[in-house]
Amino acid sequence: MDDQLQEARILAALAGIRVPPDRVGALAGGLALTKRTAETLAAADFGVAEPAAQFRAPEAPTR
Amino acid sequence: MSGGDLAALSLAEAGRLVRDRKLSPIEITDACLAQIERLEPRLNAFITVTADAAKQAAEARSEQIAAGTRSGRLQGLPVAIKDLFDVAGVRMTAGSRILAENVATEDSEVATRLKAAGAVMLGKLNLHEFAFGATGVNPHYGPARNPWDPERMTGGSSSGSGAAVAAGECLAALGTDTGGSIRIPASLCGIVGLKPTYGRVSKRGVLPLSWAFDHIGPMTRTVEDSALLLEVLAGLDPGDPSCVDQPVPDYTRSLNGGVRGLRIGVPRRFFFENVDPEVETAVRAAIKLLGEMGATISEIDAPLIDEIPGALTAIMLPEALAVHQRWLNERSDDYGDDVRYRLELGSTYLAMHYVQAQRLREIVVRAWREEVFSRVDLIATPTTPITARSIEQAGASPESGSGLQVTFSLIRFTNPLNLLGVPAISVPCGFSAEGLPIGLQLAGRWWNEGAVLRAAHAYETATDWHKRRPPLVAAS
Repeated sequence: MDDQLQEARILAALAGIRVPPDRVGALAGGLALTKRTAETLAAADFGVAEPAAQFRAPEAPTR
Repeated sequence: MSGGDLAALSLAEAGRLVRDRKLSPIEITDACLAQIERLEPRLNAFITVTADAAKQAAEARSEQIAAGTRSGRLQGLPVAIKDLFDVAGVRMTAGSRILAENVATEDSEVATRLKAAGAVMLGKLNLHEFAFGATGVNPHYGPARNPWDPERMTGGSSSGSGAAVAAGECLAALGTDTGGSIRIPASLCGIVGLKPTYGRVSKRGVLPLSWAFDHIGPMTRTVEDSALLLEVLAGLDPGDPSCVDQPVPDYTRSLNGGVRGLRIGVPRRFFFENVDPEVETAVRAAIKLLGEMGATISEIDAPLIDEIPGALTAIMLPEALAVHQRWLNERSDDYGDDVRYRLELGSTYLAMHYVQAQRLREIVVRAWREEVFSRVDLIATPTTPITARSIEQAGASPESGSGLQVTFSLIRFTNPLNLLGVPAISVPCGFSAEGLPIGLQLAGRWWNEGAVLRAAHAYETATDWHKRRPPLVAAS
């Protein structure tokens, strides 16, 4: 939980907002929703909306 | 007609009577003001009533009519607007403590258009604080109460608009809709609410919540009234970069086209999951009736529907935080708990999430264009999966389970259409055993409000749900 509190504090600070200590816990509780959203977005197939869609990366060299 | 009967007239009916000089703007305005005086202690739909200005405007409109001058399609008709819109000389609180003393210096574009059409402005309507919530429970001005049962919520965020129109305190109202805020209170209060296509109506002079999804639209007692108001409101405004130069059809003229030949899609899943049984029964009956009236009904898939809520959240919360960042730092304690919590949550989304969500939106729009709206003209769903819950349940603390659950339920079927930007309407389609209204949602192709309105009007004409009056109002 301490890690989540710290994570919430850092994110709020980076976003430029001050969250009083008594509300950091609630904000940390909301991180689960953010992480679920992030996983959904990361897993999406962006198809033609993928900026690098038309560029094919070369095969990784075999060793 | 008694004052209560006058206030129960539709906008179009009152307009015809005024044009025929069978009803004066003074009579109809006084009738609405009397209804406001009688019902406001119970409903709390208004934040500011501009009675003196309304009376003066009504007198001026009456004199114009006596002189044979026509000022527009809403000449002498009393309407009210959500307190998120600027009206010059009137305070614009946004339902907040922060803007409690804010007085607008200019009219919003839609206020300008209403006035130019001859409307009489009755005042500013209650809302969820900063329009950032779906229940309408406001800690600063009190909740607007549902005319069908004042112990229940109206839904939000255009809560006062829903209550005032249902109660006959005004002939029509304007609302905003970022995730369902027009359609949700319309559904829960038993009226019609239309979210037009994104870009159809100017947002200049309206406090933003999330500019990617904010829409403005009418809330009325009939579909014809929504068509009439949209004709007044729609059209390019160079002062709003999101407003699009699209032709504005004559919606009222095409209302009577019926549904024969229209293809209506019913989503196989998502939109009928976790729905109150009474809501599902009423909505399925409405769809069946549309089929019997000549529409072609078919089942459809709703592409990427499970991805949509995440994309919405990752765009809406950071945008809302961007709007509020300064106030949040300077006057954090002046926010209500639920809105402050949602704003703070916006800080946990990264730029990467916002970018991914915008890309996903592009894919979703493409998929719905190709897989849904190339095959059907409209989709039909419940507007909300639930009827109006108690204010106590809706207003529970932001971290508590019950308050959050109500909010998530309310927005589930409406907010995907904000991501798409398509036009969508809620029209009354029944009542629960407890006497609470149920709404049918019809959504159409981008810029095709005409088909949405035509189908909704056909359904409304074939039923009488919209003619029922809340017991509180009928007692007048």
